[in-house]
Amino acid sequence: MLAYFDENAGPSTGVQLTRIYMVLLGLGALLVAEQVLAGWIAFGERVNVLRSDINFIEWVVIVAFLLLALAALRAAWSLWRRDQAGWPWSQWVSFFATIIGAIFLMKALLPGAIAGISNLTAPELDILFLVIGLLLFASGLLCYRFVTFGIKVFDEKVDKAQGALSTAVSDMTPGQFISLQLAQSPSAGAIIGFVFIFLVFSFVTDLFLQPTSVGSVLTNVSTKGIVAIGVTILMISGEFDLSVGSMLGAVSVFYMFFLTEGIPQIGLGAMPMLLAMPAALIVAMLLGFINGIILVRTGIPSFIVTLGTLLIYRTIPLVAIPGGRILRYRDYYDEFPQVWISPWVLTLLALAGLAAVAYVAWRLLPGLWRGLQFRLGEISNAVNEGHFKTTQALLAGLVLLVTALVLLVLALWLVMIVAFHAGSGGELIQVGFFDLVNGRWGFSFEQVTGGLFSILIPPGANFRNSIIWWLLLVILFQVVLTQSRYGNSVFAVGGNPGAARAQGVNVNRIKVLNFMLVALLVGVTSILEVTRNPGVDPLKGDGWELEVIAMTVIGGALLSGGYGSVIGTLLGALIVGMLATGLVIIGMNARLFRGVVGAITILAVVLNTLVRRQST
Amino acid sequence: MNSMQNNGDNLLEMRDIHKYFGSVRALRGIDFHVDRQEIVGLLGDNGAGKSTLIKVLTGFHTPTSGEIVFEGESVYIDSPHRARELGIETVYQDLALVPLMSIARNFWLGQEPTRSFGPIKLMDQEQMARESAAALEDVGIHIRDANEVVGSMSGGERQSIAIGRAVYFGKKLLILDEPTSALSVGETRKVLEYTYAAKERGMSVIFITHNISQVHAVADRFTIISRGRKLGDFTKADVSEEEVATMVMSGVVPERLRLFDPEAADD
Repeated sequence: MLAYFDENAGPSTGVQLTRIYMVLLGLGALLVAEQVLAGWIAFGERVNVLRSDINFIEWVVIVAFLLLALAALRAAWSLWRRDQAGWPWSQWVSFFATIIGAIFLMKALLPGAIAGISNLTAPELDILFLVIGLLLFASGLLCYRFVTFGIKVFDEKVDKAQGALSTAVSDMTPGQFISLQLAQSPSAGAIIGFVFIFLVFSFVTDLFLQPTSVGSVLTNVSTKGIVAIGVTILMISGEFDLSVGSMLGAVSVFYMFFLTEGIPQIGLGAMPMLLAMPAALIVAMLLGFINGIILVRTGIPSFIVTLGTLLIYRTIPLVAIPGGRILRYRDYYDEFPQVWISPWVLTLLALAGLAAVAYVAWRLLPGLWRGLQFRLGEISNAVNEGHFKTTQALLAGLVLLVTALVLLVLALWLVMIVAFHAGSGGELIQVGFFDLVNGRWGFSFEQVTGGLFSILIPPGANFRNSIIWWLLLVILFQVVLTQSRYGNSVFAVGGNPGAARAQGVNVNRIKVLNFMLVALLVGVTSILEVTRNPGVDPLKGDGWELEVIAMTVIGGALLSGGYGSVIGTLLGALIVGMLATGLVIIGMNARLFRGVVGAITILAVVLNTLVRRQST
Repeated sequence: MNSMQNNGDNLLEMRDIHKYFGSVRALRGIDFHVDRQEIVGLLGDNGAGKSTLIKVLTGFHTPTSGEIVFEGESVYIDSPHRARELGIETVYQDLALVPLMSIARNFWLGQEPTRSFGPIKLMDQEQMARESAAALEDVGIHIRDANEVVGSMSGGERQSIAIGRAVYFGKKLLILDEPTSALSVGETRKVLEYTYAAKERGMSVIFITHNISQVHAVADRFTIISRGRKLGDFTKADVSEEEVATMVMSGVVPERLRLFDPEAADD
């Protein structure tokens, strides 16, 4: 292993074996993915009659093996070039190879244990699973042991190179090393919990990995997950908000009124649907602003402030909707609102998206380009000891440009096909407005997508657009939190308000903005919830606050502030969602749900604390 | 030597500062000055008024009466933000850094460099890590990894990073509030070294403490405060460590030193 960096010495046997293993694993995983894609290896019952259709499980397997293959080849590439990245890549690859192997072994040894794959009858496939599983499990484990023990030597080498003596990493056992790696991520507990609960439900019942269950988990949890994003960011800045549930009820009522009768008392008529949405969001942010300004001006703890507004905001739907009725959109209009979209608009939107992607790529390209030049330069150095030639650079640039152009044209072509599929030529496409906001896949968009979704998604599965909005918002706010100046301030405000203030961060402004951010996300959720089954009941959102805080805490955020992540909360939300659906599937009393979530919350915090303590 | 000297070398001059909290007279006409590239030890027993004086200077309190002159101009410091704008940086013992954030993020907090993607501005984390490590190296602080979390570091290392940060951002006056009282001997020495390095780089430093032994090594001058009044300014050559300690404890200037400080003498 010491010879790893020594260009003159040959690589040790272990390194040589790891290289070969990574290449073989990569190619093998590619092969499996290809076999599944081609239909030679089948999982479960075919949803459609056509042999070429690929069902949900198979997509999962294909994607998993493709990712594994890519990672393994990446590791091999680094190992061959003897750069540092080889070790972490090899570690992750072998880790996941072991896990995938374990799942395959379980399938082979305990027929019917793994949901979705249990419909297989052919015995030769069981043997195939046994062989693949055993191979993956044993080899992955061996490789993982080797790579992890290798780190010890590796770090000593690095320390020597830097002239510093650090014993922190090099004295670790593999177990300690894993816990350290986990401890560096706020979502450590959530990752462990997610994998554990996912595996338990997968093994215990056949029904869990079915599209219907997955759809129900995702759809049910997506709206709460959106609120949880805001609550997480607020919690990182050291405050929390109990009023989100009541706020949801209040904003839903406002949105409903904006859409239908307006508010006659203040002379406000019904609004066009495109205006009602921003209006509802403004109302939401106003409610959040009230929370924040009371907190900042009076200095009362957020628990008390938002407990107060929890009760106050709830009265809005209770008073506005008389007699405990449920306010329905159908009470006002027979038809749900429709929008007409020109395929040209769709095309333009897609073009704008492509332009944005191209712009980002253009900004990233110089860095990539330098890297490429460097690598090509290395190769040509080896050949003729000369520097990278201008003609070669031009040629490479030309190739890149042509590739980019071809890709662009291809993408555009695809967009045009989809956009113009429904109408013939430039006809307007009619879509239900509510479908557009939070429609159900496979039902709502068939004329736009030309039945694309109904092939992929079986009739019973309930996937909705809210899942997409949720994931987009998670990505957006993860970037905001970790990459933006605002996010940095949020962490500082929660971690040490005094230090933040001393560095010129306006602590109160950040807190008020975060309360408004929570409210804004509650507003988004209100719109999604109202359009899902168009209507509002006065107790909408009752009890959400605690469930959402549970998601956040399970996701690794500290109640005291300064620590947490949006990705962790995503996992926390998924854990809660898996419990809600999974407990029902395995036949437990659904009333147990809250108790289990409570127990998991406490467990998650204990786990997070333990893991973090290990790191410091 | 003469505390009332008023030449162009003065970075900071506080004249006849009074501060009353209701009927409590915390500061009763204090004159205080700091020259350029000078380390001043501000000494006094608990409750003597040294914290109040510094809070007046850093904008947490506004003085009841008196004038503050910074770099030759009369200034009105009404907020911590204003003090920062002037180039006055305070390093508090607990309030210097955010423990759960990395060195680089702490270093740049409030003024993070960004790179823009069209209208979107994101922190340039590579630059943050690189430049913070280089800046700290420049003051003599070696760090292993700029992405390491501050919480795992010792108190002295945290103080050092805060000092290095102040130096990097071109602050003119650094105020250290009891910086070494919780540190080990070795760490105290390090912090004093960095303080000296800050001075070498053109900064002036106010070192607040009630323990003379902590600052005697680096301070050029001592200003001693007792019960809201100034006992006097003494350059290091003129007083022994014991004499300063006695003055801080008793609030009485020894006969020998009164000659140098008429103001204290007529008290």
